[in-house]
Amino acid sequence: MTAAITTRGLTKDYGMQRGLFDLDMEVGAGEVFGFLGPNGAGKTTTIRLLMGMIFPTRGSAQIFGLDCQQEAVAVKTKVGYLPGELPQFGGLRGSEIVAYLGGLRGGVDSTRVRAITQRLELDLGRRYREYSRGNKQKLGLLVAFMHRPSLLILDEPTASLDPLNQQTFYDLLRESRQDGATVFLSSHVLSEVEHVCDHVGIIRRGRLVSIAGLDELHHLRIHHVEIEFAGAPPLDAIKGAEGVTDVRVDGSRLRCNVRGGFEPLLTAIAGRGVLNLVSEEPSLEELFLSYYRDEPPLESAAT
Amino acid sequence: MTVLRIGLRFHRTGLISTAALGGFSGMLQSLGFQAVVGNSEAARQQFGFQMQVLGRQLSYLVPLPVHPETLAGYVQWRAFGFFPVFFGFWALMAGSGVIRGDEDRGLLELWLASGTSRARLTAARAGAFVIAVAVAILIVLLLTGLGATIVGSPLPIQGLLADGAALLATTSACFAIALLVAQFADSRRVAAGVGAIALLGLFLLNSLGRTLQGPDRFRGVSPFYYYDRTNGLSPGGQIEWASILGLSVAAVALIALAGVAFARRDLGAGLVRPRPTVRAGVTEPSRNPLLRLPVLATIYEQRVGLIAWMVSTALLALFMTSLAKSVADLVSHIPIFRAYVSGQGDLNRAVISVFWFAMMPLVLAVFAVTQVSRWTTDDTEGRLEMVLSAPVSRWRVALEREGALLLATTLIAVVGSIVTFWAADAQGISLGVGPIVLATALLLPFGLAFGALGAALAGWIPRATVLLLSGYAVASYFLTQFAPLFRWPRWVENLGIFYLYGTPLTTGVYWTGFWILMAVIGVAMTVGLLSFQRRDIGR
Repeated sequence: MTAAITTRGLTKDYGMQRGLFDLDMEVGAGEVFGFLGPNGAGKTTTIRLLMGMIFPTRGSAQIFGLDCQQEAVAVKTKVGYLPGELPQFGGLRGSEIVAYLGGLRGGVDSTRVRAITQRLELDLGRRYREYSRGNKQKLGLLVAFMHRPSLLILDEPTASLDPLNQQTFYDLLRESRQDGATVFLSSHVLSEVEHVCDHVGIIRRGRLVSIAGLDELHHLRIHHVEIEFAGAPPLDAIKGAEGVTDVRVDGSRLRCNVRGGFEPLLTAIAGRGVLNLVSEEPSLEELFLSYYRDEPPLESAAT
Repeated sequence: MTVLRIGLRFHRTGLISTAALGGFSGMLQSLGFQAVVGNSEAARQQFGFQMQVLGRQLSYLVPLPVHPETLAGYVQWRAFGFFPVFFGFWALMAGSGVIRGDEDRGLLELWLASGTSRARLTAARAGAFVIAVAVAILIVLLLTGLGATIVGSPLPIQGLLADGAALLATTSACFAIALLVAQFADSRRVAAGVGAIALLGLFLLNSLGRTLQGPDRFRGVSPFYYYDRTNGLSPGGQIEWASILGLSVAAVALIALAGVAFARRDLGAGLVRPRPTVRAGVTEPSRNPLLRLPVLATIYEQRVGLIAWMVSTALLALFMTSLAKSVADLVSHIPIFRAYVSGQGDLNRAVISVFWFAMMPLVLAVFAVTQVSRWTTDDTEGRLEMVLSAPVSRWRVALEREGALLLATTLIAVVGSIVTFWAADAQGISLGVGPIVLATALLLPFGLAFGALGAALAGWIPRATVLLLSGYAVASYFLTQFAPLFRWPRWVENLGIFYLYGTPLTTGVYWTGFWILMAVIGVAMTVGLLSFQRRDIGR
């Protein structure tokens, strides 16, 4: 498979252990690749290096075989980009921003713009400063998708979108993929990445920890579960259930962690007088700490 | 206390620049007095008479002079007469920036969410401004007083303090008006525009009221009227503490009113909201062809500001040209001023060349500095990142910026020159099409030079660029104006950039200056382009 994105030893060192270090990664053409990591992990730095906005301390990055720094203009003809933080366009109207940014690409397909705008239910007649955060995000998505790019680089694309618009975004992503586009998106939400990606790169403290396929992701899944019983909790049955760890009991209340699927736990508590069950997904940082506390960063990884 | 401290920090640039401008100007008036007044008593009396004549001509800008043949009277008129203009401008920018600007920056929501009440916020932000102004005025008074002491004619302390108090009260009142107006606007830009119109209207009402009977009846509503009522430095001048106190009370009342208006409006909206209009949603890109064209897209984006610059320059041109004959009359009678215009032929043309066309490079330089400031915010606010996410090279972006700057400065300079030509012609002064075209064309490199210097500095010290460039522009102007007057060494004058312009309206091209300017542009632009190629973009 041709690589859409290749990085070799890509490093941006801001000092004080901040930045991105020795990133070796390949994203295949036509793939949807999720870049997962907690806040401050280095996701945006990676994206900004790929977009040629910042220069690497060492190493290189290529998009479709083009160097991201030396051939930045050619790279951007192929890329649709959504930055993590949307810019301030002040009093310009949405329609003017689209015309201006489209003009920089030598023109814009009005039919395509209209179609996306209608699907996202965005009014381009309003001034940018009047837009809500969600509407600004929709405008950013429109700008990224409007020229049918071969590669979409999206920094936390569903931030500020309501569930309905998130669904519209997932549809747009699916259609772009069907048209042959590659997608590189960053997120700190595990469930979102699971929902749309083929492969996931996990980054923590500026270093790539793992690249996993979708089927491997369930190993990462962990839930904090709290169960309230009518009587004493069936401790032995729960401790014996597959994937259940860190069991603690406080009277009739039991807390534990569940990795992978819920079935073994549900089987263990079936018919034992469960009054209440609450399950929570932990933060990525918490999850990574539990998984990668002692693991060294990945030396080299390829999909 | 936190909001007060942050507020003081926000006024740092305004404080430094206004104090520097006012202090420098006040000190130079004191130091330069001896050079312009002459040595004999007869020369002094003649000078006083001529200043009275000039004062009447300028009465729609500054109060009439009182005993301008004395240093104190001269400083009162030449320095303190103009201070409300500098400080009023600062008050306008601060009044529209405080709260309304905080809101645009997203700070207001944070402060309000932290439990700070709107009333407390208004009081803290207004308090910070008043403290900053008081410090700036103190610096101005010290420097002005120091200048007078150096030449052996110390200024009366009580008069100096009274003038300072009047300036503080007037500036606070201007701030309060701008702050109140800002509560009715829905963005900082609109607030600044409407505030400027309101303050300019009040300024002109008072200025015109000095000589015309109609506006005279309404002068009382203008804060500048109460400023005029104190001229504590002039021998026999008056100190009207009641006016100063009244103005201060009015300022506090207006700030309180602004606080009430602020408490009653929605964030992101003015106090009075227009009735929402029903219109169909827009789903297509704008058809405006300007947005698709390099350079013109930038010009379109800043059309409102550019028109304001053109109108202001036209008004300034009209004003300066209309004074030409009376200034020429004065110049012909005062030997020291003849140094400015010697060897330039017709005196009226020479006056327009030396007094107005020497100011035009400063106007264009200041405009260029505003553009450099815009480039910096393009970067910090993420617009540049969006532009560079399209297939455009950094070279193109940098050159397009310079191109837009050149086009904008051309428009401003051409409008200024057309109005000058017309106003001169109306007075029977023939400037000639060829010379004025030449003088206009030679102005353009100055905007470009400041843009190129800004681009070069922005890659190195982005935060200090605007302050440094503004300071250099103002210092250059003063060096060009005062060096011949005080007979400073040539190398001192050459530290500024504006001497490179020469006097093309009357004596043709100053080729040495032209080529030096071209070299400055070339070097600065190359450094700017190279650093822009290699630097990281973004927040």
